Amino acid sequence: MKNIVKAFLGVAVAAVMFTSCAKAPEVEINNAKAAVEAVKAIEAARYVPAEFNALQDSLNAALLEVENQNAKFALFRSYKKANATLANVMTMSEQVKANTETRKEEVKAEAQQALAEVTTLVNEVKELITRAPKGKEGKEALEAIQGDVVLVESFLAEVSTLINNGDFLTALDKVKAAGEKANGLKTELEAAIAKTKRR
Amino acid sequence: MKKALILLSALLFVTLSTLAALHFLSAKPPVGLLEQTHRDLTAARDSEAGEYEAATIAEAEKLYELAQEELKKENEKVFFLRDYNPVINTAKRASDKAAEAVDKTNARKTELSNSQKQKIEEVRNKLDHFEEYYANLPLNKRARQDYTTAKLKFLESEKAYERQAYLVVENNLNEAKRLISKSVTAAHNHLSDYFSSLPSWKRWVDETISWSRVNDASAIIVDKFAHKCYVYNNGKLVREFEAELGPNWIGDKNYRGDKATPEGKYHVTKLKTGKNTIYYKALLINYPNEEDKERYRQNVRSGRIPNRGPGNLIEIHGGGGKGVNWTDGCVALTNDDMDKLWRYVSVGTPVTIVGSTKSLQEINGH
Repeated sequence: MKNIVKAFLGVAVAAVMFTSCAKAPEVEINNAKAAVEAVKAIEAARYVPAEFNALQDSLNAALLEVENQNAKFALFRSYKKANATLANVMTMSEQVKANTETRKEEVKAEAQQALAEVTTLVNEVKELITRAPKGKEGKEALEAIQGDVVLVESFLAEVSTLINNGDFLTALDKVKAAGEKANGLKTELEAAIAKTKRR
Repeated sequence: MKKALILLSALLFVTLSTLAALHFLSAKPPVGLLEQTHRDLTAARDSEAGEYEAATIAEAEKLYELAQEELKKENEKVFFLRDYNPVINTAKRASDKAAEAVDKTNARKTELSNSQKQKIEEVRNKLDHFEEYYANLPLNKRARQDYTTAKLKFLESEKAYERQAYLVVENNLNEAKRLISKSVTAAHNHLSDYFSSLPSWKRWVDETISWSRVNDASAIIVDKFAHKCYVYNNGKLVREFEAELGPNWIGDKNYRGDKATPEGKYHVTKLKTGKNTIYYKALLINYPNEEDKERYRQNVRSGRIPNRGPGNLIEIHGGGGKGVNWTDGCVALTNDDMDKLWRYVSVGTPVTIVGSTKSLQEINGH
């Protein structure tokens, strides 16, 4: 009789212990959510959209898995799969963060290089202005070109601001436009100088 | 005692079996549906709904969060009291909203893409028109600045359009359109004033050609707008040369040093060669004539111009071919063309200088 009572008690204790162990991973969930928010804050959605979406999908899958387990009878709950997914979210978020920073640097470098190239081009245009026919020969035309150079330079100043603000794609549009205009001015000046030399 | 235990065990077994059956038969959380809803939201974000349909996608995301909260709330209930229908309904609404965001985003993108394509062509045509007809005219600085800024904004818009950043395109393109329209209007108004003398110019040209025919002699007509110097002999066009003028060639010459080329009916007063000219060969004309002097006096009296004298020494001379308007008001041809022209002229040869031989509409279609 005593044995039967002991067996009952044993089963009851085991059941309680088992139930106590299967707690929802609240800390891990909060950590994963914070990690995703941190990645979102550095504009991962803009620079590595596919990776960011995959990260969000993983977090979502983990949260749904937690709820899936919560829906089960306490004795049958297991958060192993959710925990594994949450751990994966943490690893992925680190990777996405690193990739975002890398991509940002790449686009920034691209914009900065384009800016440097167009700045050189504008300096070439300025140098050509000093060699262009002076005096009454083309004075008006030169003044007009100088006015255009000022406008191109103000455009490039906007590019620098955009790069500093992290808006690299708009900066690239602007710097390419300025480059095209500067090239036009260079061609115009070279033609004028060549014409003078032929005389 | 033994019976009691058996009874207790049986009762426990029945209870557990009932609970298990109830649990097994009770509603299951719609995890699959929620996963699908999340995928719908991701697809909406991928379509850039966040930029083009921010309100709709925000609503879809809010509904999805609500569905998650409802799921949590239901899971906190005793299993046989759970009802996931509200969760299902909310998730479906979230999916519908996400789909709506995608549809609206695509429609907006297509609409913007088409309208911007049209607008890009329109602005490009205006820029081309300005470049062809007005860019080389002596316009005021503002008009040139507006044109250059419009060109830069236009080029920037083109780059943004290529990467389908339609929202970025919109602002720059509208600004480019505004500025180039302003420049074209300013230039057109400027030229319209200039072309108001067209009837007089046409009359002078007809009179000059007629004189050439009647006298079986040569006459020169300079068309400032076309930058051409025409030679007529016996009323027929026999030669045509490229001509360069003073930088302020639009409008009549008003006073000394205004760098404008006069308009009027003149004649050659002197042929200069060798040491007499620094421009290879030159044909001095009788500017200012009586009409010019009277106009100058009136303008000075009315305070419209400074009292510097009407200027003089207006010539058709060599040294041209620079590709710009550079003289102090004279008409410059290349030295080769001066040699060709020389064969047709003598003292007294008529030289008629006009703003244009064609109307503005004939020139630029406006």
